[in-house]
Amino acid sequence: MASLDYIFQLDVPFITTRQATIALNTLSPDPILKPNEITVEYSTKDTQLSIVFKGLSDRVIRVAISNVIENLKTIVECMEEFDN
Amino acid sequence: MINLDKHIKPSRDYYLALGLEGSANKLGIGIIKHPKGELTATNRAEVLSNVRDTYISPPGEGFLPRDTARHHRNWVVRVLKDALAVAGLVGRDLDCICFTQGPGMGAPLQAVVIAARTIAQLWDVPLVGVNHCVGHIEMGREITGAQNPVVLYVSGGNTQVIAYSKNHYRIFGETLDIAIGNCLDRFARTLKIPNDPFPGYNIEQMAKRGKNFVELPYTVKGMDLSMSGILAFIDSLAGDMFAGNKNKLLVAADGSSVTPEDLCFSLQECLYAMLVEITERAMAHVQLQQVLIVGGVGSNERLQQMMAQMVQDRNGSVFATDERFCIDNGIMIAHAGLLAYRMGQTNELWDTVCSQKFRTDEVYVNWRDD
Amino acid sequence: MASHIIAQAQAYLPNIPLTMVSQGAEALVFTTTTHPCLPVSEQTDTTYIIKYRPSKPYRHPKLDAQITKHRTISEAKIMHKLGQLGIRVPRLVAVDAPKGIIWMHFVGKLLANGEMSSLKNWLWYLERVSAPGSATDAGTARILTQVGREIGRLHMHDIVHGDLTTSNILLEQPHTDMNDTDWEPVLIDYGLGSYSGLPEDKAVDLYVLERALLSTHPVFSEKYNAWVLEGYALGHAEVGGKLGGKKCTETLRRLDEVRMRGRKRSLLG
Repeated sequence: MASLDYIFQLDVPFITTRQATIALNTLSPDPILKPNEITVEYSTKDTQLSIVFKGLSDRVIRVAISNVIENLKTIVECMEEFDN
Repeated sequence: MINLDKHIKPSRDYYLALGLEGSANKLGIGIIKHPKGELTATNRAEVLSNVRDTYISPPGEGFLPRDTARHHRNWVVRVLKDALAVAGLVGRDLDCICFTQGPGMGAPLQAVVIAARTIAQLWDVPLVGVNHCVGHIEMGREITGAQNPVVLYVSGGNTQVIAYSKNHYRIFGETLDIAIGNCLDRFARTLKIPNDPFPGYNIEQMAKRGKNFVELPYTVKGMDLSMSGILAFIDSLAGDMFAGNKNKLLVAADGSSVTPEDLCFSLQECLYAMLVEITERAMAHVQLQQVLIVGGVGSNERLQQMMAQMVQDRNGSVFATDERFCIDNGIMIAHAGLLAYRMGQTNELWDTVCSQKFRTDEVYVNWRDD
Repeated sequence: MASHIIAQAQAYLPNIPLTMVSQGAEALVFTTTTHPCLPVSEQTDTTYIIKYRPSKPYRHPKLDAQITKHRTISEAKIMHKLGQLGIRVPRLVAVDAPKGIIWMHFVGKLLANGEMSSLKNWLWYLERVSAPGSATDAGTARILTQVGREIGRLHMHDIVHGDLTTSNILLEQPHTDMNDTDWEPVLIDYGLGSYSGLPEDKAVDLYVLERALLSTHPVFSEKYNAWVLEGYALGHAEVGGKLGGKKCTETLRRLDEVRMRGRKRSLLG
């Protein structure tokens, strides 16, 4: 099995620990479509959400990052509007 | 007698549910209020808000999943705000947040569920996953009062004839290939008809101006129907028409040339006759007298007229909803979701993954005991 | 039933006494003891069925005429052919295609509750009225296997029914010494029938019946369908031997695909 050599880590700062956890819980349920091409792991440390992408190639990683960032935009927008 | 009030908040005698719908190109968010007890003609659900924004693609193009998802992401927070404002509520007032879990297009479904999950956690409100088709059916029943009809569900993505039996909405007949809305949408693209407000509507207006009937293949197969053959046939006719090719089918009985309006007219007459036929078959087979038409294509006047003529000969009745409810909307999701919530359904986060192919008959309808 | 439709049927059949038996989605079924052509002096006590396809007002007149004529002729032709092939089918007497009328010999009888002996009515009778367990006993299994056999024989001759539901399968007791639960199935209603050797068309035929069983008789539909498919294989073997076996396997494999399409259909083309 080809190894997932291309690794990228995205660290996203939130205002509160609760927000970071909510973001993790929102992103993590959806399964990865091609697990032999890419894996995505989520974790939180205090107010920071860390996402580690490991993939077969640059392209695969780019696509995954792009998807996650689009979802993060929605999450952050919801938080800005509705977290009070 | 089912007890629908096991999960009511002790301080209130009503329920409030938010529904989010985005399985195709309509983003709809609505808030519904259910009074305590069984829903009846005198104890009705109340629509507190029903907001929608539709992604319309340019003429000649269909809407693609990625663009549709982007549209939903761009609009979801705004529409949520609107829905809450119109209803005069804040998030924490809600009993549950209902979302379309399927069927539909993958990317748009996911764009919406991300927002649903976030607000559910922010407000500490449970989530309820809803089947899009069941949403249409339950909203249709509530709005029209049809108790136990044969349901014709016709939209861009679905064509099914459904009847309730023993806690499931069972599919009696359906398309063997494409949905009728999809067939109409694709022909609209062939004719380069505008997509605003929706292609089927524009085909309907053109059909009203058509008068020559062109014979098209009529493909009812038992309780099911097939439409890809008709589409291929009429696309080919349109191609000949635009290219000026000789084709004897394009010459009307009086010698004049068949027009695009005539083609729209013929396509509607043929497709809708097929729908009415399979609906009639289901009615005869299960011996039900009511027909309920739901889904976007249900707003077509000619279809409603044809269905009314058919049921009249059987001493039955037709029910249909207006465009607020027959076109995809968030209220129907809130309503069906709230019914399920009252019977104890909530979805944990891990269980909120959307599915493009969620069959109508998979849902356990425990809020009915007939 | 709207009386103007019955009046139209009577107008097409002057001097023929008509007793209405059923109103399906597509046609009305009457019985009469008058033969359409024999002089009065030669009439017997035989009961005939008159199947009448009325005009459907919701259809465009050209489409309506096209469908009525086509289905009437198609049904009559297939019934005639099946009679020649030895498959159990009501015997044809007369046809008037533009008016949508077919005359045939009567098949079946009335059940204890007054309903016609269609497979649907009979299964409903067992499921709702009869002793518990009777809906899935050996007698029922035998009948459903026979149904499968008839369909198998039909398909071996490359004829597809087009509308297999439990309303379109009649049960008759052709011999006087048969007991109460002994029935032979007769397939009727070939208006949507066609000639086809394609596994796809045969598989869709079986799939339509499978879904009809599931939606109308949900409690035991899996068992019923299994028995039908057993009989289906037998029917193929009887008519076609080894080649029949091959055709049967091909169709059943195709049936799996058709089922998958139903469950996993991509809903947007």
